[in-house]
Amino acid sequence: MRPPLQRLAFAFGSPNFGTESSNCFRSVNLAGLLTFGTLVMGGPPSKETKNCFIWGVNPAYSAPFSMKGLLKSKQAWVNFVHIDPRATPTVKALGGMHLTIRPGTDGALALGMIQTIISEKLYDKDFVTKWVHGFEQLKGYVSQFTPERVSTIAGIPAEQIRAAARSFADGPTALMISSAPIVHHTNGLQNMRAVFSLVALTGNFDRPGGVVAPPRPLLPPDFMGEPEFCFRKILLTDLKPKRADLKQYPVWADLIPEVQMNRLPEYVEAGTIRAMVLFGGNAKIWPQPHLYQKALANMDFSMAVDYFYRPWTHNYVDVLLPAATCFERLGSPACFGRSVYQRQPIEPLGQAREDWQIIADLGTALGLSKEFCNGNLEAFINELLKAAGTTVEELRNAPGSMIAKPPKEPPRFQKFAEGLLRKDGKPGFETPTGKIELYSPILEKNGLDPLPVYAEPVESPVSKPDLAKKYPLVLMTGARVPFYTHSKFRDIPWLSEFQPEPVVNLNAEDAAARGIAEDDYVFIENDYGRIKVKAHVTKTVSRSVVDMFHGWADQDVNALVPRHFDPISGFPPFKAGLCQVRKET
Amino acid sequence: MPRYAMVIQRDLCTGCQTCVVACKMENLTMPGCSRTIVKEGPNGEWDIAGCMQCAKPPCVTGCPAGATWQDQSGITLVDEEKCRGSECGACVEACPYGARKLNPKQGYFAVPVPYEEVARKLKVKHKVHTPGKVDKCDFCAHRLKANKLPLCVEACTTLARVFGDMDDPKSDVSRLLAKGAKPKNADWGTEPRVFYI
Repeated sequence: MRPPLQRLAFAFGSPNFGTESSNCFRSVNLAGLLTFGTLVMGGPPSKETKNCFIWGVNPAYSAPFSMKGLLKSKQAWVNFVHIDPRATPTVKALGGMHLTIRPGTDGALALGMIQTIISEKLYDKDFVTKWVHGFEQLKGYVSQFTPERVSTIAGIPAEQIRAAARSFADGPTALMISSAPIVHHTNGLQNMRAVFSLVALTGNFDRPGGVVAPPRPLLPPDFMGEPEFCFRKILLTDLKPKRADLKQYPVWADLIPEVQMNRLPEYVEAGTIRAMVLFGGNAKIWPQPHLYQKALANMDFSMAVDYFYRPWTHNYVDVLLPAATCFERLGSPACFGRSVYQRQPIEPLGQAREDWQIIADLGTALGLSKEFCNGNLEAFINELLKAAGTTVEELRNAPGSMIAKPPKEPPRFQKFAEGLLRKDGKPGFETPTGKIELYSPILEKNGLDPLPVYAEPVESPVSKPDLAKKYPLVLMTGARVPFYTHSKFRDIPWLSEFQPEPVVNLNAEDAAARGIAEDDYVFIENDYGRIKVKAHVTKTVSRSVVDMFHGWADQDVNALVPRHFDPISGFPPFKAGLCQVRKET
Repeated sequence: MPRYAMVIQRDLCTGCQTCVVACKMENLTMPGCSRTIVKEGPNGEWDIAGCMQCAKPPCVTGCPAGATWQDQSGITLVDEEKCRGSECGACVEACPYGARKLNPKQGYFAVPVPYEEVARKLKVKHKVHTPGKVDKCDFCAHRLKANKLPLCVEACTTLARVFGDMDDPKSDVSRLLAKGAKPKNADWGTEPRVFYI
């Protein structure tokens, strides 16, 4: 339901359409756009891959279906390098080098690897000359990041940093990243750019076995945000000056077609946002959720649509509407590859109505009956299906209809050389210089550091040594468990047998030093709050790191996450705060 | 008649819990009655527990009602009609591996949910469980009859679980047994048919 909601917002005249993606993966998106001019999410190794860097991801839990393939790659002698503060099941299953990094220092590690690659002349000179902008400037900047110095920052032996750098340069090298681990920091965007710079310098961008660029032209249709259906043009033109995030996050506002929601309390405080409609919104996804609850309550009007009554969000809104579930609704086509399905197994039960219908009716009531098909659900959905060249009626008669397939061709690489990555069809990248931008003119123009510079997390044992005396442990949240997805599925009793209550993973030495044993109740605390959880004592978490899963409504670790935001992306440090843990007495 | 065995390759297990959920989906076991349990130890190692399908099962000899028996392929089964359940509990005590559970009084929900009702109505035996009676793994005997693998094996995301006939020298289990797969606590003398490597 993202497309119809965008259409509603933009047709109504508000540019402030936002989603949870503005504290999920959009920062990776932004780093990709700034550096390569396109979205880059990395990917698994292929048969050409020699080295595969798994940077802060644990696919054994976040994508278990991919493990068979990864284990096959291991058998095919792909060399895995893991960068993770935890010895995850993925590290254990795939083996290889493991760099136990201090959370939030990914940028420093990448710069240290770049320093090694440049000083040992391991970079791809031809590729850099032809396709990379800002090599000399980055070379100058990284000279201070010797592996010895990075070792003191990231907590990784210098020789291991050199070895990792040499592996990365000895490509083809694949890179597996994910939405969160690198960018959920106060310097997350630049850390991500530093990692991407490694890919560029070693010529691993869009080569077989390396980091493959998405196919272009992008596979139509984009049901998440089909620009024409969503009235994207209005957002980019007339509405742009009204964006709530424009002043604070101008680069984000330029490149990301949704508002940075992390500053909602500030927008409401300033009167920029006075009313809100939430579909499946959750006040607890943000750092220090009480401020977001207050923001909802302080608006002139707020309304939520949801499957469940969730007091921590819905006690603060004026109206709550029951949403029809996926079994009761026609809206939102389901797409599997190129097969499109659109069906409604049963009519909505009780008073529930589906998102698309609510949006169509709201739009019509706002006087936009033409744009919202006078509330006619099927006609409204057909507007989106136009992009796929089909209709609800057609899909009803032929479920699983295929979107027209392009002629089969082998996967293409070095698409930038063929002009497939630029709208104008010229060779190069969709960036101001037409090259991969290690040095970003866009950041420079906005008064931000154009190089992928490293900065300590705002609150870390290094940046705040005094605070760290009181709270010596690094609080890392959000790492996945296999049986829950964020706060979802806690109502399924089969699943809650696995973990019926919140559990923190503590390093065995840290636990012993605090007299904490397995299954003891402990407090995790800092100046922002305190939660009581059960301890799991393990050697798989690095010393001084606390690994706490999120999404527990009563013992909500987000209450302990500082509201320091990345100056470019506006992301909070979900993965590097400071805390203390003590046994409940 | 085959002699069924399972080999679990510990190094491959990632603790993803897919086998536990798959078993629950297939057999609709009651709360607290998971037939396989995958638990993380302090070093990140995974302990995979469940019925060992012993060749000399103490639960069979320990059952005073003759409700627990072993079929020709070596799988230990429970005849719910003969089982005295919570009034007895002798087999639960007899099993050194702690693999037997008594069904609780109530299911996951206060009222039967549709998938439970359907199983009851269609008399899908392996999905219907009587409160108070004993529950245990049967290597998905109903699937074996249909020439399918136990679902925990089929669902395993890393192929850590291997199943087959230990009398067939070419089977994967025989290969792994030759490589040194061993049962848990062999010294207990029950001759488990679940091995670990």
